[in-house]
Amino acid sequence: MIVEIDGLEKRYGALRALAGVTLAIEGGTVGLLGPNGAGKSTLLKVMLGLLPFDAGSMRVLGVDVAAAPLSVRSRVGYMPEGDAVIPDLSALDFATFAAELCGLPAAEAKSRAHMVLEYVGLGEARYRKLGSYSTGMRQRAKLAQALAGDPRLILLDEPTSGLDPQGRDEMVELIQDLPKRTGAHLILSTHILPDVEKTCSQVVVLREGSVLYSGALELLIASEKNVYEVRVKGDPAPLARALEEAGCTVAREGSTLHVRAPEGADADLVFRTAPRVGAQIRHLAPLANTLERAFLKAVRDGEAPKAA
Amino acid sequence: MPIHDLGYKPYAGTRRPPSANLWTLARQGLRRAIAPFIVKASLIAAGFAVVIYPIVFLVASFAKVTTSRGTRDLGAALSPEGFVRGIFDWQLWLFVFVITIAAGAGAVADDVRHRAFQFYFAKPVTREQYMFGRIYPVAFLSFLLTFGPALALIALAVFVAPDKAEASTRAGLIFPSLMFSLAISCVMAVVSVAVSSLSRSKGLTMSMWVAIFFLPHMVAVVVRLVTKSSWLYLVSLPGSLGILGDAIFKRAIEGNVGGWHALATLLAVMVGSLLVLRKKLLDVEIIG
Repeated sequence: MIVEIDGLEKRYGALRALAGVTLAIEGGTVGLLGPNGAGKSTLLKVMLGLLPFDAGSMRVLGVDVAAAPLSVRSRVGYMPEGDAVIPDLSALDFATFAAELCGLPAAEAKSRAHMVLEYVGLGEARYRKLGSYSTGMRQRAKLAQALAGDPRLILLDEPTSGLDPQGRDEMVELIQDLPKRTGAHLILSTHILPDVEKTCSQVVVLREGSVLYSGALELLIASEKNVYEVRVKGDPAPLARALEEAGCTVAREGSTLHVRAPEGADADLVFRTAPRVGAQIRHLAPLANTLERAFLKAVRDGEAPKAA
Repeated sequence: MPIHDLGYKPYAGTRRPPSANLWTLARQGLRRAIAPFIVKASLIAAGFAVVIYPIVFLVASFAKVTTSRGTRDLGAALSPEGFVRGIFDWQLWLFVFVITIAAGAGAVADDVRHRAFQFYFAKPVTREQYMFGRIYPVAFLSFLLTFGPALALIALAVFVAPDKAEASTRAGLIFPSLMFSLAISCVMAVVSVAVSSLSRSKGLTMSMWVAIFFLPHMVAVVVRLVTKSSWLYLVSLPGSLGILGDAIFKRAIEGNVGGWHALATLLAVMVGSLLVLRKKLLDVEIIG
């Protein structure tokens, strides 16, 4: 287990930022999701031992965070969100400094700084001051400093925010490669759900300080039974009305209908109903779920599939 | 983007304990403090001072002044402790102040503005270690700029002393010089860095430091001229340091305040500054 949390509570006055969170993360690459105010930042702060909590317990990499926060931080690499660099340092000095602060001797720290800067694609720019870097280069420098101390767990906070599409793809590529290359576990906190789909095998969904879902990404986005995506020639409204009269739940997204058939019925009901209202079916398929859809549904309805 | 595989190797060696970060931060802080041109220029200029003060002293020691009443030996009237004490005023106003402006008064504001706390405190670094890493470089440079020239001058004064007893007396100036250098360095570094935590705007904190250093002193000078009372010197950092310096060098203190008053005031200012700095660091949101 890389993270074990039991009944964790954190209050800011009357507000419960974390409301009895119980969670176990075995490892791998984990997406930490939740709308604004869900408690993601508070959870990250508590994981790093930066914030005392009011009740419960938390162990990160087997270490009690409350008892030994410095020990946890020396083995956890944190890539912060936004522009968090020291602009008058070169990337090499920045990464070397980070490695030294994680307890590595000076010579080893410098050697690793060269290695990680090469790895993140800043090999040629390593002697330039960070103040002269573009947003994309700064993101990579922040990733390099998180890796420099040879962490066992890496926390990435919005690693692709502010990047152009190419920069985002490159960062996602790095994130996909990191666990294989370093053997470290990753926790990725982000609002950009396609990034999570591309990189994570596990997800934790938070809402209002509670865990809504924790488990395999596959299970969360698994296609729902008896839900179909239907497109017809012309206006789909008559078919939508007829299907609702037949007991279906219908949602419309542009010219596409998402049809949930009633218990015991299947796609055949759609095929039988369409001719009655003169609709010509052009497309009918089980609805492939996306993380975005599953996430929005889970957050809206307050429920998610039970993790296996 | 190609991913460059240099063969990532896990680190298998031993790690230094987090307490070692005190000196890692101090070392890195010193490198950053020396980086600005103005700091380098001050250090070079102060290097000249190490040479110039002894030359002036040497010339004065052997100078003879001829007047209508005859020739007078200037060296006989020269007071080495007065000369050494005077160096500190020059160094404080000329160089130490510049160092505190360039390396101290914007230090924390700069880190807040660039959100560098997310970097520092996500590593095994405590608030106290960070404070030390910010204060130490300014104190160290200030100490060099005050004790260095004083030590050079004392060495020369001992060398040119007329007899062993006088040489011994002059060598005895090392201890008060050390004490006064430490006092100047600690006070100037702690207060300037604490001021730098009062805003995220480096320009504003530097302006505040200039105001704190000069304005009370100007007011104290005017009040002293008008009322002959020197109590207001206690609210001026250079004023209080001056009184403390006179007390350390056992020189007559002008006005109606004593060395203990200055010492108590400076200690209170330092403790207050450290508390403000710590509070500001605790209040900073590290992960927003």
